[in-house]
Amino acid sequence: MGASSAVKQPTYAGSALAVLSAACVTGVLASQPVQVSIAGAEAIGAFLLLGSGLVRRRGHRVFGGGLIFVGCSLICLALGLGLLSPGKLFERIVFFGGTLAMACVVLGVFPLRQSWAGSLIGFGIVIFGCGLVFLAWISDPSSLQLLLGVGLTIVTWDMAEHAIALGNDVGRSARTYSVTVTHFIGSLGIGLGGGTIAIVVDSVQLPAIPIAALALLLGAVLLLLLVLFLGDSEWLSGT
Amino acid sequence: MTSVDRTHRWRVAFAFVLFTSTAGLYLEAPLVFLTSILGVAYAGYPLFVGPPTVDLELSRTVTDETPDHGDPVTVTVTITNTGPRTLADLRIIDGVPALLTVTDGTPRHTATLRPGTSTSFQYTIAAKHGSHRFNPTTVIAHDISGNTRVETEITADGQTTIREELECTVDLQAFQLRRQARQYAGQTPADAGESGLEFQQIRAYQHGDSMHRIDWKRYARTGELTTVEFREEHRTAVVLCLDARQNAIRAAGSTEPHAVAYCVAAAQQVTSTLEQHSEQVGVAIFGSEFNWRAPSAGREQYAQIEQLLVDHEYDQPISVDGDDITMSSMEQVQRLITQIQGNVEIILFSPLIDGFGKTAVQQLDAHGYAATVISPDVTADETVCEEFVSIERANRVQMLRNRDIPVADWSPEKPLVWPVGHHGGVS
Repeated sequence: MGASSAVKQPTYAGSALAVLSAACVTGVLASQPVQVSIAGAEAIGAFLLLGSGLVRRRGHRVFGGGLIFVGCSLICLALGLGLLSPGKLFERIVFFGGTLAMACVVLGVFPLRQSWAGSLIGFGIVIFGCGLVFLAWISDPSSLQLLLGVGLTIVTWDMAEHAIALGNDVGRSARTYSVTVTHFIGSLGIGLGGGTIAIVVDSVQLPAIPIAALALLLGAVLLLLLVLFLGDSEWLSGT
Repeated sequence: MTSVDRTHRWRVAFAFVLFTSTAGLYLEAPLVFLTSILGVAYAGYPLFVGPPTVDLELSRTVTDETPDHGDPVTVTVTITNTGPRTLADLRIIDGVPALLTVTDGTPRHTATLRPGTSTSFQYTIAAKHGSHRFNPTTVIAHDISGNTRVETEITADGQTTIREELECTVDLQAFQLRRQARQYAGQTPADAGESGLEFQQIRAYQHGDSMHRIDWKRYARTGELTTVEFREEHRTAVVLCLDARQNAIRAAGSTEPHAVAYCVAAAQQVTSTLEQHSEQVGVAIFGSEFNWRAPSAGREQYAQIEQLLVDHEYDQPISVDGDDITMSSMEQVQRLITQIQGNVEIILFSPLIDGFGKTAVQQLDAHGYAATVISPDVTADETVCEEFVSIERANRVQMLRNRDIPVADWSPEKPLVWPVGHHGGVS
């Protein structure tokens, strides 16, 4: 190719959807109304940070720099307030984990550094996962709240990774809205389907089933999926 | 070539299921255990969707097929899904010619295409001298889960809907060979007297001499049969010499074509002009190896020369580390001198950014070959080093001109005005 090399950074559309999902997960981890506000402020900061790239690409470097400053300030403020917010210690820790995870996701798709993008997003997702498990352990969230949190965590990871891969292939300047939205709908659809099944399972009043039996059942399902994957791989290599 | 790969991106869902189920069991939290179902759903996601079927039709058009140097050319690419299934995640990267720069838009595009639907995108490139071939368009299709990646290239394969080349020819002005610049015939003398225009001698009639050559007036006066001979005019062959050494692969900027590409473009235009006059043309290419094709005329010869020239068009620029008047390069010049026979006119295409071009043409001139130098100026003046190279080059041009060797100091943005004047001198 000629001198037309693309800026291989995560695409804006995919990054925005990943940040939106991450903001929702942070909101799920909030146990106080003020924490929801803090999550909202962090989300605004995150979008300003993302928008700065778009503004700078159009030549408004000073305005873009200003957006970076305001965005970073809001994120730092949210991190600080998340740690000092009212509530029990464990709830504060969980929420602070959420704000930290969101900051990691934002810095991953911004990106702070291209080679760190995947690691930052992975780190953020692990913190989200641990925060959700911790939340379920220390407090008594509804099954819907927890499933929403888990589902959106996976969607966050999926959209962020998709944005990185798409950016690597076509760069930031290509139009990616339709592909990103299609991928988002697919990912969200699977989450809704899985979540619905989980709620149905949760709502069914079954006689007490030994936990060992459930674990075995889950293991069997995983094994089945693994076998199907392997079979699919062989079929692909055959083509 | 089509490649099908698995990204295995949803393997992470297996890890997630193991984490939530283990945590659920350890913490005795049924809700956490329940979230494993979500993980299982995502782990099985790729199994719900099949790999994408990539059946596509490409169309590429340009606003101007033969632009001038520097003209903006808008390229429109249209992709149609001719397959039976929807392509959820299609990524298209058009193969912009290697030496051209995209000035507006992007040659990369994405789309979701249902069967029978199309997507179009445009980008603008700045035309540069030469014949530029579009590379195959790369198409990457993912299934909606992103688990399967199919990558393929779409080439023209004779399809008329795909514009494959962009011709940006050099505006060659006042072209003439040095021998043509001389006003009188027979400047290339031959010992043998045959049919020609310039009188050479009268000799005694020999059996078999043409009736038209007999001097009938002399016969009427003296009764002696004599034959008039004219000086035979041998056609001068032209050898195009291309400086394609690593040191000559030098560009004014990272987005600019290098000197060899400009030399090739100019040589192509000269070949085309000589072909119109059915001149005997040969080619000598100085590079990592010496390529030589003896002068002759004919369609096949011109095609071979074109191919030899084009082979060096896409060489990549590297840094210049001083003059490259190595034995190897000068040996190639010596080989050329031993190869050429008879009356040959030399046209050397060289950027003259090191001493090779000047030394080579001086040697050829010393051996009596009429030489002309075409030198594209690819020097810059942003740094002291660049300015120094520019001054050195200007000195070489002047030194050659002082030896009555015509040199075209050609700025690629302007037409190439041939340096040979109308009276055999240097313009």
